[in-house]
Amino acid sequence: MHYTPDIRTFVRIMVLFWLPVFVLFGVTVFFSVYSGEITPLGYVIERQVRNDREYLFARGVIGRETARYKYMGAERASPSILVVGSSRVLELRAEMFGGTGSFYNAGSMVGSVHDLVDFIDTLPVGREPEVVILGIDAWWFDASRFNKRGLREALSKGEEFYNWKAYVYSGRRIISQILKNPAYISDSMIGIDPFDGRRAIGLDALEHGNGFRNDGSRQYAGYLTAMRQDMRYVDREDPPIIERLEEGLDPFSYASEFDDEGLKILAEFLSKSKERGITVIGFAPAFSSEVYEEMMDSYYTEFFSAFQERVPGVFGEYGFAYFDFSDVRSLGLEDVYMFDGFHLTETGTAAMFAQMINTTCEGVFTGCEHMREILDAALKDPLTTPAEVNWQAF
Amino acid sequence: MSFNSPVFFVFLAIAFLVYWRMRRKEQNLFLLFCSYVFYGWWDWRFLSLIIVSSLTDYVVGHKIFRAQSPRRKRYWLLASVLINLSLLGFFKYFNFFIESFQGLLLALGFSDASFTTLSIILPVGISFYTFQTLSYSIELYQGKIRPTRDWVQFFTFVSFFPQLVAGPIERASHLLGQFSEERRFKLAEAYDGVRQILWGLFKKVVIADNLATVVQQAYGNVDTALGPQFFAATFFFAFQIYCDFSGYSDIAIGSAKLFGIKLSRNFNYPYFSRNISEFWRRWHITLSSWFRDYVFIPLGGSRVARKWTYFRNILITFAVSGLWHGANWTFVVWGVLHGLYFIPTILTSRIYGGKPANEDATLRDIPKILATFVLVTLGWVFFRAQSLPESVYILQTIFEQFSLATITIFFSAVFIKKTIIVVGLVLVEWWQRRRAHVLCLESLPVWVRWSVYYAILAGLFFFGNFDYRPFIYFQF
Repeated sequence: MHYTPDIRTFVRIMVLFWLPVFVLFGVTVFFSVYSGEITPLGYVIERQVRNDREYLFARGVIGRETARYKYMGAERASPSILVVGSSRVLELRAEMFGGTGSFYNAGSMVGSVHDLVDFIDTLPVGREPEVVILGIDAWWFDASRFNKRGLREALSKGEEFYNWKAYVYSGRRIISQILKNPAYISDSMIGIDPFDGRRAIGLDALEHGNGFRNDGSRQYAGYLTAMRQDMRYVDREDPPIIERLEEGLDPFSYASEFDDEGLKILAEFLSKSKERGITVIGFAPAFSSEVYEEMMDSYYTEFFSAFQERVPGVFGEYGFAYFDFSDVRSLGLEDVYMFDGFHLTETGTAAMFAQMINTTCEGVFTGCEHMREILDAALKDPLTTPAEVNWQAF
Repeated sequence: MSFNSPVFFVFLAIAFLVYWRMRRKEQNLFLLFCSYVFYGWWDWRFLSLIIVSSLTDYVVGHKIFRAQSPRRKRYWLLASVLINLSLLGFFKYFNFFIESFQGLLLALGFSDASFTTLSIILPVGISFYTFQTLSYSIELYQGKIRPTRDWVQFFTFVSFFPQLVAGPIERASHLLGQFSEERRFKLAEAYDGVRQILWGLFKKVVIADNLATVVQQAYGNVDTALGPQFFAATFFFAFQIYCDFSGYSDIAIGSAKLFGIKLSRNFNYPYFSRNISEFWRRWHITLSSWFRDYVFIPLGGSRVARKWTYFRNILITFAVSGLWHGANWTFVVWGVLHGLYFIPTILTSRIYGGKPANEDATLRDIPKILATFVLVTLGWVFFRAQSLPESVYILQTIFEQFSLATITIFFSAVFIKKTIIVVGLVLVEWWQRRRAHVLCLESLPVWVRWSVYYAILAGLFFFGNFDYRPFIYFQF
């Protein structure tokens, strides 16, 4: 059988009708891939770890796959110093270590104690870091929350690169931007982060200068720009952290209850780390004084006090150091060193790290004196630089 | 494989190109193959069910036809009904009946009544193809059709992929014959099929799935949502379910047209109905007519001596129809409620009251249309809620929490945006209410038509919600 003339006409008309649609869609796919929005994570990590130039990676539209990206990055970089925790540890940067060992910040990779164990179980033997700097969030021990297994879920999902919806959503964003500002085409072709001039991968990095640097640490361009314009403390999260605390919104909860099961899981992680020769330094990241005071005088007090009292003991059992920096004032800093109620700025983080290595450095890191010099210099006049420290100067 | 996934459209295009290079017999075999691939895409294990169902009615059909006495014919029909309803009953209603029985015993004071339920996955589309195969046996029994000797034809009739998982529920007298005839490609039909697919997809992805987010916010947070939120969510749900299901039907009918097969119309602008009777002649038409022909009329229908019997017949039909939708008492109540809506019609003995469905509504009918819409929407609360207490709570909340302080939601950007979508839909449907679907635009110049099509595609691209949401009727 052959196609009748009518069928041929139909197919011709269909091709004619759909061709412009597919061409247009193809163009958006090209931009999506070229801008890095849908670049496979392996490719992004390869470029960042190679470190031949400064890259900044942040997707703007599609599922950000952060946990997966960070796990792949930690595995590929195989650093001697690895930072693990939530987004609250992301301002620890390679520069703070003065090149005294390979470094990778895997902040945002874990969101629960279960994730910690899943991480150590999944990390291939032989690719262990020497030191893990572990930021612990109180809510990991909240009975109503700690069953979260974000990392396992993230690793079990297919990459967004193979998800057709990613192309539609990113194409939609690109066309909308082009319609608003035709110069977007040339900007995206050049692909430079507007904040710091790094090579941008992904639409958030390209449009706003937000993203992960080669060392895995985070550049919060939006926050920094706002701080440079107005050097006052403002809780910039939406909704603000203080509001979340008062209203029992995520990650806080009126039903928060300290669960010993969480401690056992943490102990499992520490034990496995020790077995594999990893030194773990634990710390509780800072809250703004406003949030800290509210935590110590509200429904959350009992839960948070239990967290402060019981977690250090678990680290002690395994001979690991632990620091509680929950109150930003314990670092000798004010709230202006915070982006919001629970994220320290880079300068604040440098101050925190300086305090950390004042007591725990020798025998853990190499080049302690050099690190101290760098941090001291950077923090010489911290009040004038409550935003980014220009590490290039050191 | 769902109609709102790209893989379906690739599948459809390939199937179309291969199909029209074949002869009739090969075409049927190929359609059967495509249908099984389509169905197996969800879970290949359920193919065995559809094969069992097809085989049963193929064999029983011949038995019914050859049976010498009416009694033997009736036995064979009963066998078909029992086998089909047993399959449906087990996969869809087993746990429902166990739990209801357990609840009844507990209510009667048997505190240690405890039965094991099973983890049964509901096979997609089982309610639809079971009813389709049943209609074949019943029509044979009634002598309306003759059995087919070609098993490929029959199996294709049961599993024809465009309408396999959510209808339209076809009668053998309408669809089976089409597989025995030579199919000729008709250009106009094919164009119309593509237009109907496009419009169905728009209704599903742009309208239904965008409204779904607002509906879910209220119905997914029953403890915290306020009265006006439920009010808005129920209003939007009326359009979500309409666009979801009629969108599916449009894609099904449009896809079938590409293969030279005509499926029955399933929706005829139901929200322009002027009374409840008319609504049921415009909403899920193939199911309504199935229940009318195989439940309502055998019960005695409307030609009965007493009004009470007529009312009883209506209530039974709607209750069973409600239960067909899902194994939950909410659906039964929803059905019964629609049955109760018929009381005024029964009392005035206007069985098919109002204007016939094919007579167009006019602007003067708007008060009646609105009244019917309100009644139907009230019923959707039971349809959408998870349990009867939840439905009652939602209705209470809607009526009790309606104050000036709480209606600020109606001024929110989200509400306004969604309302604009709904108003837009109503206006274009009103404008095209005499047509089979909104995109019947043959009278317009080509450039206008193509502009409309491209505008719809742009709408899909910019406003479509592509976070996969299965069609609501898949669960039935």
